[in-house]
Amino acid sequence: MDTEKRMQQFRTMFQRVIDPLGYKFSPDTELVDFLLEQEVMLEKEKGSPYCPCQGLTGEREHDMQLVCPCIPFHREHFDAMKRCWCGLYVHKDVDDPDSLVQISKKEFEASRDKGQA
Amino acid sequence: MWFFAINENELDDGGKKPLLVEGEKLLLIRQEGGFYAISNKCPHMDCPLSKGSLEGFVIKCPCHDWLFDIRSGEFLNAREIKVPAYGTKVTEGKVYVNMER
Repeated sequence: MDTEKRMQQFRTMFQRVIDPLGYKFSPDTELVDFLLEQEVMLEKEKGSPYCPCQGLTGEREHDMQLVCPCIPFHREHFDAMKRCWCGLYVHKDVDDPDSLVQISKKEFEASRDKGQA
Repeated sequence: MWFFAINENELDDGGKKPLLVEGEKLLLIRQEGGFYAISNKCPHMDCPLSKGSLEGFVIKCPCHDWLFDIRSGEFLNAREIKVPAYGTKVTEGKVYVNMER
């Protein structure tokens, strides 16, 4: 299957998943096209459309939580940033994705734990 | 509307059977004596749940290990995402599925 066609399939399938979670594709269409193309390549190479921005370990339990859209497995962290790690998805109320700040998981967890203390 | 699915004795407890009912790909599961019907397509990437593994009332998608409760269709990691679930009834040894969700 050609890359363009598979990218379109990803758009349709992933839209179904992200919509009930309160997310949408980023308004940055160039970024979206680039990331989806990377995912098509990853699927061809590794069998699944993994997140292009996070490292795989080879351990199935870990890696399956990085198959796009990985929002359900990192919800608290992504909700805090209003975007997924790559920026492929943003909260529905976001118009300017460039205004969002990427927070490392470590930083996020530290600030969350501090808030709970 | 109720549609005939299978005879009750065609499925053992803990068993699952993919079916085509009214043009819909369904998965019928018998667990702890009850019958449960869900869409056979994972809402993530349409993988056939019939090829997944069943543990209690939870089925694991064979493609990316997404877990669903067969009673409600809910995805365990995000309850907002559901695989369509259908009502079932057994009448005179025959299992029927209600295609109106």
